[in-house]
Amino acid sequence: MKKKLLIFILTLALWFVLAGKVNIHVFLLGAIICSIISLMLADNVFSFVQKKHELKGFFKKIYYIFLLISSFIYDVFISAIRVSRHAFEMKPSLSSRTVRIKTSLENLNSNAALVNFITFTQGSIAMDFDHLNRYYFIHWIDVHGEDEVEVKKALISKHEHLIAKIFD
Amino acid sequence: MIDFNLSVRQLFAFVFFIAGIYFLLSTAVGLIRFPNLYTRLHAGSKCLMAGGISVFMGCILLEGISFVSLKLIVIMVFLFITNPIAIHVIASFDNNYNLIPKTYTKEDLDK
Amino acid sequence: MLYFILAIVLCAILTFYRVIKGPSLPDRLVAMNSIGVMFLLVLVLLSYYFERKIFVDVALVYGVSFFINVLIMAKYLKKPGKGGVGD
Repeated sequence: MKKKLLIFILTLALWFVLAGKVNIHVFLLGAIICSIISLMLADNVFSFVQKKHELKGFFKKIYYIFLLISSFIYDVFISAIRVSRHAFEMKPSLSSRTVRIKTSLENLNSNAALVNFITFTQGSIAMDFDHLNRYYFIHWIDVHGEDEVEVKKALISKHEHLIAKIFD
Repeated sequence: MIDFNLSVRQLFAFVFFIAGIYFLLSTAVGLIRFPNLYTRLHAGSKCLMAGGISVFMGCILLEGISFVSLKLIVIMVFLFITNPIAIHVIASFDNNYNLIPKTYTKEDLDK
Repeated sequence: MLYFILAIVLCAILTFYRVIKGPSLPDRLVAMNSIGVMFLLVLVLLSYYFERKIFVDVALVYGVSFFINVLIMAKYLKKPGKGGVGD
C-alpha cells in the first residue's frame, strides 16, 4: 500500500509539472491515469530499484555515464570529419575490409549499447552478430595495413570496458 | 549589455548552423560519389548525425533554458538512439540475404 | 534563417538522386533515411522562422513515426522464404 501511494503521488506531481496548470479537469484526468499506472507498475518498479540500492555505486555510475556520452559525441564529430574529407576528394580511395572480433560482454543490453557505439565511431559499421560464438562482423574503412587493425581493435576494447562498468 | 549578450549567442548559433550544413552537404555528396553500399552507409550514419547534432545545438543556444529546449533535447536523444538501429538493420538485411551490390570496387575483390 | 532552410532543402534534393538511380534496394533505403532526417531538421528550423514554438511538437511526432516507417520497410523488402523474422 505504501509503495502504491508513493508512486501515485510522484506521478501526479510529474503530471502537474507537464500540464502546466492546476484545474479541476486536469486533476480528475491526472488522478485516473496515475491510479492506473500505480496499480499496474507498483511491484515491478520497486523490484527494479532494489537491486542497486547502494548510494556510492550510484554516483560512480553517473560519472561513468557522463564519460560515455562525452566520448560518444567527440568520436562522432571526429569520424564525421574524416568521412566528409573523403567525400570531397578528387578520387575517393576508401581502403575497406571486413573484420570479425570477439567480445566478452554477456548481457543483452550491453551488447546493444556496444553495437550503437561501434556504428558511430572511427569508421566502422557493425554488420552482424553471431549469438553462439559472440563474434561481431565489422566493416572498416581507412585500413591500410595489419598494424592499424590492432590499433582499432584496442580502441574498441577501451569502449567495451567502459560499457561493462555501467551495465554490470 | 543584454543586446550584446544576445548577439554573441546568435553568432555562436550561426557557426553551429554552418557546421551542420557542411556535414549535411558532405552526406549528400558522399551518397552520390561513394562506390559501394557499405561506404554509403558510412556516409549515411556519421555525417548525417553530426549535422543533426550541430543544428540542434544551435537551436538550443538560440532558445536558452526553457521548456522548448527540453523538447529539442528529447528529439536529439531519440535520433541518437534510433539512427544506428536503422543503419544496422539495413546492413544486416543486406548481409544475411545475399543481395549482391552491383557496383564492385577493386578493394572488394582482393579482400 | 531562410537561407539555412534553403541549403538543407538543396541537400535533400541532391540526395534524391540516389533514390532514383540506386542500383539495389538498400541504397534507396539509406537515401530515404537521410532525406527524412533532413526534413526533420527543416521542421525544427521552420519553427524559428515563423516564430511559433508549437511546430517543435510536429517535429517530435514526425521523428517517432519516421523511424517506424524505415524499420517496417526494411522488414518488408526482405527476400521471402529464408526464415526471417517477418515470415
